[in-house]
Formats: sequence, C-alpha cells, structure tokens
Amino acid sequence: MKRITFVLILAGMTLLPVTVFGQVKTVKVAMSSQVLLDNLPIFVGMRAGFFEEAGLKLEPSYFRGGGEVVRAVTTRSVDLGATTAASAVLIASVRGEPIKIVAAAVSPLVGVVWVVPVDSPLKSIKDLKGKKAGFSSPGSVTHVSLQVILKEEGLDKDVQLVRVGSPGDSWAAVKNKVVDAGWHVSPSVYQLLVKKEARILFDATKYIKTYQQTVVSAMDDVIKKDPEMIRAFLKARAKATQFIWDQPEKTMAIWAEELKLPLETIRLAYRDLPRSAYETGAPKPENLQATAREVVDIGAVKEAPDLKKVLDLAYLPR
Amino acid sequence: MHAERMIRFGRIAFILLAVAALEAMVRGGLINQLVLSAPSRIALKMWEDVLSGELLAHLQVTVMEFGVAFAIALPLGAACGILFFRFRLLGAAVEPLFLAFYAAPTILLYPVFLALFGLGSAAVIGMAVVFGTIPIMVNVSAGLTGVERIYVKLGHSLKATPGQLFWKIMLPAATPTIFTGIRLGFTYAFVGVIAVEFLLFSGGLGRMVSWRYFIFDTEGIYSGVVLIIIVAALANSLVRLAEDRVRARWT
Repeated sequence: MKRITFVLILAGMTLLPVTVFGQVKTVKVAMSSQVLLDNLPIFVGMRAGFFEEAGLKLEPSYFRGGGEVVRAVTTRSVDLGATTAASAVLIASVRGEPIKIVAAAVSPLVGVVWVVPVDSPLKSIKDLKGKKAGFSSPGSVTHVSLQVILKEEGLDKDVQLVRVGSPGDSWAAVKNKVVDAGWHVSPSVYQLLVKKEARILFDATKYIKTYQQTVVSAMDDVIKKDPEMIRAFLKARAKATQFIWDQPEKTMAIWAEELKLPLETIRLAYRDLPRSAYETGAPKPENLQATAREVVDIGAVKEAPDLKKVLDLAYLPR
Repeated sequence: MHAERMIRFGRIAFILLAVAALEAMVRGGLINQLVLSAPSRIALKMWEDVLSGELLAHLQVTVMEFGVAFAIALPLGAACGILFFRFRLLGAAVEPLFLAFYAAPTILLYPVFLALFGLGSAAVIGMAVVFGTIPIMVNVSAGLTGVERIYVKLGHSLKATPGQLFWKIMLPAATPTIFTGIRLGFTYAFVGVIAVEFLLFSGGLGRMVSWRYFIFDTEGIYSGVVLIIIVAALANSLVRLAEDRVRARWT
C-alpha cells in the first residue's frame, strides 16, 4: 500500500510542472487555404516550437478563403483567425460583429499573380480585353484586387470576371479554357513556372502598393476572457517571423515539407518574398484604409468601416 | 370542411409561432446574427430588394434558365421513359445506369458543363436538364409498366388501336406516377438551377445569394432564400393545378 502511494505521488510530481507551472493551452486557429504564403509564420512557429514555448498547442483548421476564416471566428468555432482576410474582418465589423484585428499579418499584396498557359497568345494584361479572368471567391483579396487592377488599366468593363476557387481549381479552369487567365499564388505557382506550363501575365503586387492582405483576428469576448493567450500567440508569431529571415534554410525546409512541394520551388518563392511581407505589429494605416475603401467600392458595404472600433492592438509584443 | 379549416389554421399558427420564436432568439442573442437574421429584418430587406429592382433582375434570369431547362427536361424525360417502356430490354439494360448516375452527387460534374458550355446560362441550363430529366424518365417508364394488365386486356377486347390503347388507356392509368415524376423533375431542375448559379456565380438568384453570403449580408441571404421558396411553392402549385386538370379530364 505504501509502495503504491509512493508511486502515485511520484507520477503526480512529474505532471506538476505542466499542470501548475506551464499549463499548455489548446488554441484553435483558423487559417486560410493551406497553400497560401500567409500561413508560413504559423508553420514555422509550430515546427520550430515557438508556440509550445509560449504554452500554446495550436489546432489549425484550414478554410477555402479569408471570408470563411471570419465565419469560423465570429461563430466562435475557433479562438483566433491566424490568417484572416482584412477585407472580410472589416465587412463583418460593419455588420455589427464584435470582431477585432489584434495584429497585422501580411501586407501589402504579396505573392498574388495571374497566369496563362506558356503558349497563350496573351502577352500582357491589355490582351485581356474581351476575355475572361478568374478570381477565387466573391469579396476575396483576388476579387477585390482584380477589379482594382482592371480599373487602373481601363479594362473594368471589358473583362468578364469568373469565380474559379482555389489556385488548383483556377489552373484547371485556365487549362480547360473556362478562363483566359487565372489567379495563382506563391509558392505553388513557381512549380508551374519551373515546369514551363504557365507564365505570369501580370503580378498584382506591381499595381497595388497599399493593401492589408491578412490580419490576426479574434472576437472581443474571447480576447477579454484570455488576453494572455492572445499576447502569447502574437509573441510566438513574432519570433517565427524573425526566424523566417534569420534561418532561411530551415524555413524553406519547413515550408517544403508542410506544402509537399519540391525544395527548388520553395527556394524561388523564398527568394521573391519581400522582407516586409510578414508583420506582427500594428497594420499600417494606409494599408487598412486602402482595404476599407475597396470593400465600399466593390459594394460589400455601404458605409466605411470604423477602423478605430475594429482595432485592438493592446496585445502586440513590445 | 371544418377539418380543412382546422388544418389551415394549424398551419398558419405553426408558421407564426416559428417566426415569433426565431425573432425572439435572434434579438435575444441566442442565435448569432451572422448565422440567422430576425424575420422582421428579412422582411424589410425583401421589401428593399423589391423596391430597388435587384430581386426582379435576378429572378428573371433564374426563371428563364429554369423555364428553358424544364421545357427540355419534360419532353426528353417523357420520350426516354416511353422508349424504355416500349423496348423493355433497352430499359432493363440502361435505366439502372441512369439511376446509379443520379444517386451520385451529380452537382460535382458542374466543371464539365462549365468546360462544355462556358460560363453563363447555358451551363446552368445543361445541369438543370440532367437533374430534371432522370426522375421524369424513370417515372414515365415505371408508370406505363405498372398499368394494370386488366386495362390492357379491356383495350384489346374493345379492338383499340395501339395509339388508342396508349393515349386512352395506358397514359391516363399511368398519370399519378407520371405526375410524381414531373413534380420531382420540376423540383430537382429548380434546385439545380439555384445550386449551379451559386457555384458558378453566373447570374440569377443563386448568384445573388452567393454574393450576399460572401459579404456577410445575412438578411440579404435569407431574403433571397425566402423568395426562392416562394417561387418554388408557386410553381409547384401550378404543376398540381395542371395535374388536377389532366386527371379531371381523364376520369
């Protein structure tokens, strides 16, 4: 009996550091489509152990688009939107949802391109006149940016916009001639480029210099209930972002393994990543304002979102 | 008469109670407003949509697509059904394949139609024709096959020609089953139109609901959904009216 009691006490003591001194919290995070480069800090943070160090065990769920991520956040199916489309957050906020932006994630527009087959007669964006171009889903980053770009080129009334879905579906739509040019994204687009199956018709980042692509978001009551979780998440994410630039080889290895892409493809994507792509600070006002203007321009909302109301930046790492 | 009145009253009372309960739950915060809107807000949004003309514009596209699809599905389904009845071996060989195809999620074939017909009403109509034709075909075949042998014998004994046998005896006898198929084909074709419009974002009420879904316009989504239900119910009533008239004529 005494032996059994001693063994039980010993077992309890081994659990003590976790249960008392370092409670590991399970945090459900919603992320946009796994192939998007926006998710890299999360992959790195999980694999390099930064979130675990911060006492967080992430349970990621992937969604088709940034808008779906917002639905997961607002219905409290997840605790955090790790890569939420800023436009979708602003729209939900105007609709009365108490969703908050707690940090910037990716900006301005990064890695979004429109591609054509390598033998396509289309040589520049001007050749899209009278043709069809694909975007992912209504109200998405690709939908909004495509409209902005076409307007800038004077083609907004001459190009038919077609919803095509994910990058894979988009490429299938291009190959089946459902659209003449389809959207694609880094890093997976590099595989098409390396294999000489596709070429870039135009790069959205050349047109759009101010835009908030994705943000980290959470519901107001979730933040108030556990502000330390938000703080710990953002701190770990910041460490992961630093790691991306300090440890390129390890980062590329993680990225390749996570997306099941060849390392050569990832190298090209990494090479073209702007240093400013991943942020964990406050979103730049001009980027958020540009996004806010666009959600009004595309008719998603009638009134401009109150940016002060939607921001809650008290948990950013110092 | 009294029972009919009671049933009607019960139906209206149930609807009113359900609407009141939903209103209370949404306003009380029990249901997230991004998931479901209060019925009063949906009604207001519907009114705004009617006044703005947006609803009518989308409705016209959907009704056109459905009308064309059903106008193709009905004779096509009927013709195939009669063919499978007339040539039993063909029917036995091919009909189960159509049924198996129909049991699968046919909506997933929409990229094929998109590639074949391009983006637009043609792809929507194409898919709706597939959805609507098969139940009509199956029920026409089953209805004619299931006609009581005694009726056929009666026809023969009265020296009816094959045409008279078909039009005067078999078709009227098979009417209940045929009209079940027509109602099913009607419903599936309509659902098909809305679903493909939603997926392709091409036009019509499906596109309207899809856009509103993506911009979190919950009242707008349900405004579209309620209109779709109303249109479907009205059209279904028309089919029932047609059925009653046909049955009255043949009995």
